[in-house]
Amino acid sequence: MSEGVRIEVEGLSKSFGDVRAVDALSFSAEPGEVTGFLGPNGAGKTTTLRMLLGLVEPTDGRATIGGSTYADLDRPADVVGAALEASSFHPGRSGRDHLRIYCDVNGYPDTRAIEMLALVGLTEAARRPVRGYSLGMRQRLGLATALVGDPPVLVLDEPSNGLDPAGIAWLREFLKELAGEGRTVLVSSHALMEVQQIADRVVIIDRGRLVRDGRLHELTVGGQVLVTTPDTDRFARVLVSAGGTVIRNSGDTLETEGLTAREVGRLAFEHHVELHGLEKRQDGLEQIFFSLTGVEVQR
Amino acid sequence: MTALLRAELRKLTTTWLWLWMLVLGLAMTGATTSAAIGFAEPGPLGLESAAGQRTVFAQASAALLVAGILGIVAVTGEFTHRTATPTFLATPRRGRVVLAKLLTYATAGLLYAAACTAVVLAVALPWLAAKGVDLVLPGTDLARTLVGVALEVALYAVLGVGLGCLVRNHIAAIVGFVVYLFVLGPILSGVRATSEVAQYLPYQAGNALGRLTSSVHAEILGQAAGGLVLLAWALAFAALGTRVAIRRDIT
Repeated sequence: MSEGVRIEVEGLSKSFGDVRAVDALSFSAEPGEVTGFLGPNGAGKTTTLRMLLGLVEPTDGRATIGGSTYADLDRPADVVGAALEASSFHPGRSGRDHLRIYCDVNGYPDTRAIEMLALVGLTEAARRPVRGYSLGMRQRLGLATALVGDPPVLVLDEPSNGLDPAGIAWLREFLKELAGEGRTVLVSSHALMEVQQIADRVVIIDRGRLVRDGRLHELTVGGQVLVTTPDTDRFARVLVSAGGTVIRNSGDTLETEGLTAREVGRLAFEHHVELHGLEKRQDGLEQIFFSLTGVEVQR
Repeated sequence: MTALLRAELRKLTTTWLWLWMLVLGLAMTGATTSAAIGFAEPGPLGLESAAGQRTVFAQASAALLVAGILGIVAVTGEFTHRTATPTFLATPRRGRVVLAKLLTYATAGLLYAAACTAVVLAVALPWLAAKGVDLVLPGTDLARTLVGVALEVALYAVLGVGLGCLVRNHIAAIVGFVVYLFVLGPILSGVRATSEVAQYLPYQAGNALGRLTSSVHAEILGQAAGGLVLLAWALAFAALGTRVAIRRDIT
C-alpha cells in the first residue's frame, strides 16, 4: 500500500422502473478515514455501493475509485475489498476453500487464505463448512474475502449486522486500524450508535438523496445539553440571550439546544449560576438523523 | 484465464455435488446399459445388429443429464448462494467468468462421459459374451460412438451453463431441462408430424452425435451433422446466457 485512493460518487442515480432508488447522489470518501454511510433501511445505500462496485449499472452519473470505474480496474482485488452480504458463501464449502477460490482468481498463493483466516480470527473454523458458521463468523469470513488483496479501499455493507457486542467492538478496532494504515474505509449502516463510534465522517442519505455530509463533530454540533441548576429561570434567560434555545424547563433541569456544553459552562461561570450538572446528550447524531431523515407522518 | 479456470475447478471440487452427480451418472449408465441389453428384442435394432450394438455402447450418454445439471447449477448456484457478488467483484468482466465455466464444465463433461463409458464396457462386454452375441460393430464404429457420446455430454454441459445464465432459478432450470430431455425431446422426435423438425433440436441432434438409435421411425441426422447442430445449440445458449449475465444487475 503506497498512497491513498479516494472514492468519488458524482451525480449517481438509479431507477428501478418508476422507483428512483438513488437520486443524483454525490459524496466522497477519503484515505485514512472511516466514512460512515448512513440511512434508514431502503434509503438506497446498498444500491449505491453496488453501483460503485460495478454490480449494478447506474441510470445516470458515475462512481470512481482512484479516478477509474470499478469495471476499469486492472486487478480489482488489489485496489478494492468489498463485503456486501453476510452470506455470500456456499453452505457446503469450508471457509478456507471459499478464500482459496478468491486466491485462485487473483493469483495469490493458497497460504494467503490461511493468513486471512488468522487475521479475522477464524483459524479454528477454517475447515468447517460455512453452514455451521454463526452470522458473526460469516461477517468475518466476508471481511477476510475483502482483504485477500490487501486493498487500499474497503467497502462494507452493514458489516456489524449479526455481531454481538464483543464482535462490534472487535470490528470497530479493526476498521480504525485499517483506516489508520491509510486505507479508505466506507461502511454503510442503519445503526447510528455504531457509526458514531467508528466513523470520522458521515454521509447521510434518505430516499436516495444526500441529506448531510460532514465530519462527525460538525454534525454533532447543535446537540442538546442538559443543565441542572437551582436557578433555572434566570439561566434560561441567559442561554436564550446567548443564542441558545431552551426546549424544556422542568424546574431544576434545562434542556437546551444550539450551544455546546463548553459554551453553556462558560455562560454559567460568567453569570455566577450555580451548576449541579452539565451533560452533553450522547445521542446528538441520532437526533440529527431522525430530524433529517424524518420519521414521516403518514398521510 | 488460467486463474479463472483454477477458481472454477476449485468451486466444483470443494463441494460434494460433483461426487453425487458422478454416482448418479454411473448408476444411470449401469441401469440404461442393462436395460438396453436385457430388454433388447430381435429385429433391426436387435443385439445381433450393428445398430443395436451401437445403441448399447452409446449408453454413457446417460451422463448428459448430470453434465447438464452440473452446468446449470454452476451458474444458478452462484445466485442461490449469493456468491455471484464476490465472483463478479473479483472479475468485473463477467463474460470471462462465463467462459471459464463453459470450459471447465465441458471438460468435466468429457471426464464424466469417460467414467460412464467404463461402466458401459464393464456391463456390456461380459454380458454380451455370456449371451453368445458376436460383436459385429467394427472397432472404428465403436470408437466413433464413444467419442460422439463424450462430445455430446460435453456439449450438454455447455448447454447447461447457458441455460443457467438464462434461467437463474435452480428448480425452474433443472425441471425444464429434465422435462425436455425425458418428455418433450422423445415425443417430438417420435411423433411423425414433428419428427422432421425435431431432428434439428438438441435432443435428437445429441442422439445423432452419440449415435443412439432409439427408434427406426424417428428422423435423425448423421453423426457429423447432428454434432454440428448440437454445437450450434450449445453455442447459442452460451452466447445468449453470457449476454444476459453481463447486463444483469446483481442486487
